[in-house]
Amino acid sequence: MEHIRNFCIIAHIDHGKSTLADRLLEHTRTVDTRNMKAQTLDDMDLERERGITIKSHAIKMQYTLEGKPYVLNLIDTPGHVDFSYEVSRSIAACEGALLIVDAAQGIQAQTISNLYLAIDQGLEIIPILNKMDLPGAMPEEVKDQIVDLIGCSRDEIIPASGKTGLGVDAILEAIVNRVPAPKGDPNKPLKALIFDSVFNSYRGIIAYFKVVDGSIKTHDEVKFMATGRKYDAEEIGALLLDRKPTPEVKTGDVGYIISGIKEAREVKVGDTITLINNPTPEPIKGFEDVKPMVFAGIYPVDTEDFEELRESMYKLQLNDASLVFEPESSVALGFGFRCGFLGMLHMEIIQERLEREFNMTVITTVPNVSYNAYTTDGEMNIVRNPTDLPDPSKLIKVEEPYISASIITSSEFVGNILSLCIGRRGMLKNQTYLTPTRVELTFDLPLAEVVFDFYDKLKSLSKGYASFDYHPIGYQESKLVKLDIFINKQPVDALSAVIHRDRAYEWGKKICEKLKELIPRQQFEIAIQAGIGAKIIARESISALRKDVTAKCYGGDISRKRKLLEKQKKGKKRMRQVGNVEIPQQAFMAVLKID
Amino acid sequence: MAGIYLHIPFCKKACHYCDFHFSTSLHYKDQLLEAMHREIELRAGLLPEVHTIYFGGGTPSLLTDAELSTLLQSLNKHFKLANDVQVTLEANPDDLNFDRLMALKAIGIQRLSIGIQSFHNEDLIWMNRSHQAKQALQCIEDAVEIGFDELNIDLIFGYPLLSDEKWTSNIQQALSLPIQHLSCYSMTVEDRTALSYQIKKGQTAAMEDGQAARQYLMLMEAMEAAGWEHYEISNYCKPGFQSRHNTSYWQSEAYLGIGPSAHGYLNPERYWNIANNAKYMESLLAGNLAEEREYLSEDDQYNEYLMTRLRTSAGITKADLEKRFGSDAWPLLLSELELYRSELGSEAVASAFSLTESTLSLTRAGKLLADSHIAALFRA
Ligand SMILES: Nc1nc2c(ncn2[C@@H]2O[C@H](COP(=O)(O)OP(=O)(O)OP(=O)(O)O)[C@@H](O)[C@H]2O)c(=O)[nH]1
Ligand code: SF4
Ligand SMILES: [Mg+2]
Repeated sequence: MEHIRNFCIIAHIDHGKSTLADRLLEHTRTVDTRNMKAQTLDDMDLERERGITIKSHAIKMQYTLEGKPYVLNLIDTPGHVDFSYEVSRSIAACEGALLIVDAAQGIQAQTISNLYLAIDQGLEIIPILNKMDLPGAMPEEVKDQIVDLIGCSRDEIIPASGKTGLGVDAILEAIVNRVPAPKGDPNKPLKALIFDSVFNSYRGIIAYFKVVDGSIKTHDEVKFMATGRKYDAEEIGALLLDRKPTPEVKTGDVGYIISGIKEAREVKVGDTITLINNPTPEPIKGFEDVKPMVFAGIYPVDTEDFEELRESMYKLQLNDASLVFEPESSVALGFGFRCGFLGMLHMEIIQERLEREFNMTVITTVPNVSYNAYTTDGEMNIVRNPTDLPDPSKLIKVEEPYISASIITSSEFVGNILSLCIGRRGMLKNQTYLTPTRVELTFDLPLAEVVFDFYDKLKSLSKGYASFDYHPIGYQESKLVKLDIFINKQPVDALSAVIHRDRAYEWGKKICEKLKELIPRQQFEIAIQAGIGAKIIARESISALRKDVTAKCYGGDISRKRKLLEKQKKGKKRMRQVGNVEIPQQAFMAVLKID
Repeated sequence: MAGIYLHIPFCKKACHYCDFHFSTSLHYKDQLLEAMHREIELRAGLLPEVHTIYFGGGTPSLLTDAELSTLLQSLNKHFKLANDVQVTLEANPDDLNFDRLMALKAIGIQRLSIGIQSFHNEDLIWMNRSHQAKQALQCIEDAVEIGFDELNIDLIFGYPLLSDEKWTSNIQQALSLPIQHLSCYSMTVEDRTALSYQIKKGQTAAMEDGQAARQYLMLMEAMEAAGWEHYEISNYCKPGFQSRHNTSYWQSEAYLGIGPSAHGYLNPERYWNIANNAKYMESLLAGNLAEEREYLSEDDQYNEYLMTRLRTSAGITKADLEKRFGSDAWPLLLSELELYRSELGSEAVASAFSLTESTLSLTRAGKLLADSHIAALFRA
């Protein structure tokens, strides 16, 4: 156990975690050069396409220092706020963390929030000043920031570059010398923490764990303590770039288990694995429940796929413990699920993963936050779907969630950011100059005003030089109304939204315009209306399609033409019918695209 | 009736709306024709008998009589031509003076398809056509005098400059001419044409589908009143004068395409030549076809059948459908129609389709939205 070091790499988004991990993998020869690519650990298509890490990724490295062999278990984590739950679970499997700071950007909002997650778990922090190769690197200034933040000495900070490989030796040495070895007891009964899991269509469910006490061997009879289920440890092993079966995973080490589990619900991230005939008395304290920030409905495009969607969600949940969902139904969309997400990117990724990994075609409805509605009968209703908002005649008041937002930026953008936040019903609470040019602004803001496009707006008006972090501060009363959308006079519940009263008119008008753009012309006129209660506040109409015949259809065109019409027919399958109007999938998310 | 289509990829200048494959540079014409001869040799004998030959383009009338004649000879050498083989040439009026017409007749062209588009000069200028209205009238008079068997003209409707009055006058002008066949297209804005660019830049108004629908109906009424047959979505003829060549496309008969971008169909495969003159020449002069092929699955064939048949006045007949696609094909088609009825409403479907015990076709109103209606009945 003395030779094991478990550490994660944490940072603000894009500060170079995955690239630095590449250099560590290379240096320790964990990955063959021919399998190396940029950000090797980002192996999901979605991660590669978007250039960001979405999932934490654990990998075992071998390293020798002063003639002694060590096992270094590395976990690369995502930097985007929406995936901070990944970070907190990874931290639970580690004794140390590399805190990466981009030498050109300095400390940013998630540098701070991820650092605190690690400190709270008692991890040893190794600060690293990354991207030293950049011409804009400001090593002295950023070192000052790091020293202020964690109170380390300047020479504990390791200058590095994931691009040139600078600092890799020093980092590996620091991991061995500064990160404590795991502290478990090999003689106690097995106690292992499941920190992640994944569904594999051939092997069933694979759970990733860290052994805290004892050890686990192939074909041990094991029990998952929270679910009470018992299994034969069919295969256990180490996490390299692929899985590598081993006969035993010992105290302090990280590994995986395959035990023929097919049912997604049987595995819970945070659960403890122990032996049936020699159980540990105390399970490990699991993970805190996630608190979703945004809610939206996810519905199968084809109503018959409801059960399959449910199965897919369970399987996806294995690999993304921050997804929560419960069944609901909509007049317009039939049966589906109300899902909770940590943010908009998370929601987008879930939708994409359902489509790519599980082949589900889904409609996602307008997202909203959770409201507290107080009614005349003295009850408080939690409203996660706008359609559940009680009738205005019975409503005393509605409260919405507020957050405290911390924005770190350069002083030249303060004016822009103030007007953005005030436009979003924000209240400036604090303004601190971290240095003469760097400011931290603290606002109280309604969550609903920041979840959608706030971060994009913030980035664009600060030319990328603003970072943003937030935490919930409870509920406050607001003047909220429910805005309904009618298509050819029929209400479409899945398009309803809860909106601040002062903005309802503007919003109603914009959403009608947007829908007009997104709903294709059909063979009859389509009326789109927005209303509060019985009162219509905005309307648009889509004129009937008069002619759609392609004139020429000769020789070669026949094939091309057939394909066009086939595409038209397939496109219809991605639409939902409300009355006789076909509404395309993306119209349900129209609200997000409104400025 | 099997046919051969030859694509001549040259034009004098580019019409603003056109996305066909052509080049306005003629300097490698010899080489290109050489390559087409090679292709004819490579495809020799692929059809048992050829009933129609069609020179299309581009602008085939840009070829000399000798060039056209050599192509015909080459076809004659490598294929069995039927005794009554019909040879059609697409031509632009500015290429057709009296002497030229005489010469074309002499080399064996029997049918002309003349790209007139409008009888109004300002429209022709707007379209960037290379001819003038009076040339159009003159060449028809001459062609009739010289004794061509059949004449077709092309007209376009549904563009901003074309008022309903002007359109009526174009239709009446066409009906007053001694022609047997009329092809009418509504102006379509294709990607990457000058027209689409002009619309994007706001230099030209966008096409308006209300106008196109109205002018299409005006045309259908006028042609019917004059006793013409509207035998295919875009084609009208005097009784007995359906285009032999095009009809073979719509009847899913075999045909060959020769020349860059030309398509061929030999059940159950389609092929298409590369739409690039230089690459086409390079490949064929090296002795290789420059084609891509596609195998048509049963569903592909069914969808194509549905699409081409519903565009004809005869529509789909139960007997022929069942002969090609099996005895349950007709009931299955009716159940798709039923599904469409439930989506769109039975009134709308009733006004679009005319259904009898054993035939299904589009009504006049149905033709306006032919694409939607046809796609609705496709096998997915
Ligand atoms: N110049 C320079 N660029 C770097 C360095 N490290 C990373 N980058 C670039 O910075 C971008 C982000 O790198 P990643 O390694 O994906 O960053 P990350 O921290 O893993 O990002 P997330 O996981 O999405 O939070 C990429 O374009 C890298 O090529 C470095 O040391 N020098
Ligand atoms: S003459 Fe015909 S092929 Fe040539 S550009 Fe004009 S429309 Fe297109
Ligand atoms: Mg990363």
